[in-house]
Amino acid sequence: MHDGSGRVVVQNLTKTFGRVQAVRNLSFTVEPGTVTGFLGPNGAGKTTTLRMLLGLVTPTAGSSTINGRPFHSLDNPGRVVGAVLEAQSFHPGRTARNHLKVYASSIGVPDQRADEVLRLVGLADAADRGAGGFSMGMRQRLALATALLGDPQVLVLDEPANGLDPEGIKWLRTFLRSFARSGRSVLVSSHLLAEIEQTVEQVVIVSRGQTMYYGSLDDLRRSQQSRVIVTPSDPQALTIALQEAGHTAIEELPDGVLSVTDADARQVGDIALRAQVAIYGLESRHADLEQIFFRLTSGEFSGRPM
Amino acid sequence: MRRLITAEFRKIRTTKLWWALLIPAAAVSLVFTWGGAALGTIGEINSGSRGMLPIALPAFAQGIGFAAVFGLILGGTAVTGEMRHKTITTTYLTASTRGSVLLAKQVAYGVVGLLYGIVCMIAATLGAVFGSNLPDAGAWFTLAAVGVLAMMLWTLLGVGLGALIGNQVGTVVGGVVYVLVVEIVLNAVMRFNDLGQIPPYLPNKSSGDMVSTLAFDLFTETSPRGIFSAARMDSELRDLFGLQYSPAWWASGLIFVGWTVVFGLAGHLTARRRDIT
Repeated sequence: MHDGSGRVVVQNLTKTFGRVQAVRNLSFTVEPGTVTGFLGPNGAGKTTTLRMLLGLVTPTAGSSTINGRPFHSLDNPGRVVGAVLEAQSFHPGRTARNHLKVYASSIGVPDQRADEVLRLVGLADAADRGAGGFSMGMRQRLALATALLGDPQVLVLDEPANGLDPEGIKWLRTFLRSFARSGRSVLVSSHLLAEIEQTVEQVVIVSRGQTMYYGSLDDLRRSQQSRVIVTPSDPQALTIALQEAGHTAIEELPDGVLSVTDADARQVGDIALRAQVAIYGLESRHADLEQIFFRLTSGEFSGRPM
Repeated sequence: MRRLITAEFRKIRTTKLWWALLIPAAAVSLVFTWGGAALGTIGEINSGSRGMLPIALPAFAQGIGFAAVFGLILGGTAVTGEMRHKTITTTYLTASTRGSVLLAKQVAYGVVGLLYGIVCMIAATLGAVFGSNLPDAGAWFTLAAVGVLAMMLWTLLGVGLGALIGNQVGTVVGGVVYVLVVEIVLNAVMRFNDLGQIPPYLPNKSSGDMVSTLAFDLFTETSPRGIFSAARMDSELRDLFGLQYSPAWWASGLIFVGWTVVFGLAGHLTARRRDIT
């Protein structure tokens, strides 16, 4: 049997489709009891990575385990991992309840579990309707209900917020947090940091199939240089004084405001005093996560082009 | 494994396709046998007082041949329908192995194919009754049993073909065009080029031969005495039915079982490796 930990380990995964390298040497771990965000722009290789983890796509190289085992070695995978993927859908003519009953049988849970998960995701009223008439948000809910049928330890969601209304997104956040709080693991992908920022403890940021960052969001914030925004009486004089003192990362902003990234506020203040430049405003600013994310994924830091 | 088989039966039962294909299959069986039975009664008039010709038998065989196309289509959707509606992802995520999913499909569709065969046999019997020409009961039920087998094998062949091709339109159109056009043309071309011994080894001809050769044997056995006594007459009739190169019915049956196994294995090997993207 598997170790039952709910830990997800991805090691050096690589996938090549023809001549395109969709995923390059990707590694990360999802610890039980946490929500891990899997972030990257569209086409970064997130979906391919998740499908390799779930045994739907065979990796070109590398491996991944859930509960210490590759997906194909799980005896009853529906009990261990539930997934909401984009490549997942429903037969338009089959009702939501019948859809769930099919998979309740596959996993080996009683039929009434279908009604339980329908209630859980708020679809009880639509149980006898064909999935073909469902809205995008309802389809996402039904997909989540399907993922939850086997009461799994690990939940993998690919862009689950797509098509959900703001209320649905809020509900999903609360749900994922409480799911993780019960000691289980969640891996959720998104192309928007803001969408999952409030939900996740750690993030894996990928761009062009490679890991750009892997760790906690707080560490990511701290790892980035803060900058000093200063409004001097004489920008030119201050710039010269800063450069003479060895601080060259200076950017001129409109209205005579300067942005300095390689000095802290105290250093800038002292240099300005020595240069006899008056200071009208001085503040240090931490980088905004969204900007960090953008910088990490905007190509210039992503290594050699493909 | 039992859980997966139940899941497959639920998948079939909760959509309309199974009866949407069963109705035309039964209708084809009924119409063919009815027509054959009616022809037989005309024969009775022509042959005077010797008794009626059991033409319902070969007509039934032909009818099964066409009705089995619907079994092929149904089986063809087993895997491809799930690929088309993208439920294959969930199916693979909730099963221990892909092989077990395919095996469960083969069991479930084998049973449904059997059901199709039985319904078509009942429809064909009704056809013979309507045509007032129900042949000898022993011969009839022997032929019907082989007809049921043909229907089941075609359904299973469809499952394998669908797993191999993966695309629903490709499987259904390809399968139907092959059975109704390609193989018939191949058969004719080979016969005109002195290669008539090859077609009995092809899928559709071997399946058709299994039913038709048996129907022919039963037809000659149960026809009024004296009509087909001469060996020459027998071989001319075989020519007429296109059976001159065909082996015994059970040998044709074994060839067709072979095709079903080949497609089943090919389907397993392909579907197990296919990336679901």
